[in-house]
Amino acid sequence: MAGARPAVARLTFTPDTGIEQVDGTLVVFTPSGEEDNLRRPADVDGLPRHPRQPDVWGLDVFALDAPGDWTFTLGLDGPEGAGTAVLTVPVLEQPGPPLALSWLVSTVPLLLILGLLGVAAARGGPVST
Amino acid sequence: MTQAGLLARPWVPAGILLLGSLSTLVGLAWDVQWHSDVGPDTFFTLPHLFIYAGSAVSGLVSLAVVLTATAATRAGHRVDTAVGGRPVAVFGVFQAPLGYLVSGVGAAVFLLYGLWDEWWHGIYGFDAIIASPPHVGLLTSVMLVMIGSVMTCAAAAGQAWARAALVGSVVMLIGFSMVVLVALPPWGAVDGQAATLALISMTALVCVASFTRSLVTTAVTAWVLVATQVAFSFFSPWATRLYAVAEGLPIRDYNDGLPRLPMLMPATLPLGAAAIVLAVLLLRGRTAAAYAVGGALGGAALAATFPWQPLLFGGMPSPAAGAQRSRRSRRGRARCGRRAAGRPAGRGAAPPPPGRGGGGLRCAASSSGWSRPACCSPPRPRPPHRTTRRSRSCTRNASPSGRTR
Repeated sequence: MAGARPAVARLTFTPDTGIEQVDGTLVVFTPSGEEDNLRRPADVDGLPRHPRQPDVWGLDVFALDAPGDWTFTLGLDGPEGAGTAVLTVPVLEQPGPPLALSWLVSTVPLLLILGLLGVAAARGGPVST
Repeated sequence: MTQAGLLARPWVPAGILLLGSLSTLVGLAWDVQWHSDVGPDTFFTLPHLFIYAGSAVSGLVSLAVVLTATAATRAGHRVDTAVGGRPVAVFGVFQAPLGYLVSGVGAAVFLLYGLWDEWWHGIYGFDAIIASPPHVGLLTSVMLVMIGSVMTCAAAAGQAWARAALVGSVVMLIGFSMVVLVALPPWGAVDGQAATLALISMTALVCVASFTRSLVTTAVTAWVLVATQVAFSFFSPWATRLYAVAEGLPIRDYNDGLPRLPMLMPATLPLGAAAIVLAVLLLRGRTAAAYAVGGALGGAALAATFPWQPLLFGGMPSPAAGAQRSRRSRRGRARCGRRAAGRPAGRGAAPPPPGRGGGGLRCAASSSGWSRPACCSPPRPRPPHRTTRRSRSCTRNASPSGRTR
């Protein structure tokens, strides 16, 4: 559901030449080796600008929803050539209450709805007005 | 004995309850779009105001009706069942008309889950996804409020306003309930979102058909839902951009701008209504069996068409209807051709050490999360920004759902 606290850190990336003259890419792999597009469309690799600091690239808020080492591969291509940087982000086990317990608590209203529907189906009939 | 106030005019509290539901629905469609297009923000946003005001209004009017009904009963008056349905004794003290009891309980539970959501944010920070446990609790609490609203409209059956109000309340219930689809995990071979959408939508539609015994009302309900979907398809992106401009905030890069919540509403619900009509005609009567068969047929039609629904909005269909995470493996990715992140190997360049890009990349991290001062900075013109797209041969599917990550 949610990763450790680093998932909500503000991470920005600024080439020395600024982002105007450079192409930036970001490829993210989960600990299990699947690619995660974060918030971008499936066919986009480009680094997005930070949603609150549009003069630099930056990572948005998203969930790192599996413990383990996530791999962030940043690529640059500009007048000075191409290059990459690889960031390995270790994600710890989920803090807070066990997820199953959280979901159990959260589904109480749903259980109320199902109970209500069950009673209505069992005892339903024409409404007298 | 005569009744006064809320009990004398059932349309007043029922109408207020409907307005509360409408406020919550507007706020939700706006808020989901805001989180998708603009980004996380503080609690104090206009969409949140609509959501919470809607629940507050619903809770307060429910409380008012319950207290009024209790006072009337104690004074020896008989409370008309047109006001929310049959009164139910609560704690041996209160006399609560059933519809208002349900909506009031939903509003009260909503407050409790709001507190839990606050605690949740204290652990995890800003919303990264809609489908957190407290959010699901909040959203299903609102569903309970809206079911209460449906009951209050149904209880007034026979009154001039009740039929239109019933249609409106059911449409809002269906439209709002679709947000829970984003919380559903993949079910393997079965598209869980499509199946759940079909189940919720057809249950509501069959209830309308069996309660009103009117096929016309059933069809009207379906088409009003479609009209609502169209209206919100324009409203939520428009309101989001307008609000972003007013706040001086940019729209996210690589944002497709598709209307998130409307894309989850069942655009083919008229097929469900047609299935009910067909079943009633074939089985020659408005029987329970006819409604069951019609509901099953309609559900199958909705489930079959939902994965293709994004085409209507300019998106791409997806069997998974929403999984944004590509399932490509590292090995599969290596076959996808030229890409900046994979170029060094192809060009024989040695990768730079981690944390330092070959182009002089500076990485700045702040563990303090999002700061409001940055959000409040004056709007800056968006610089021309080159986007980097993969070759089409590498694409797999687009993501049509409202699942935000």
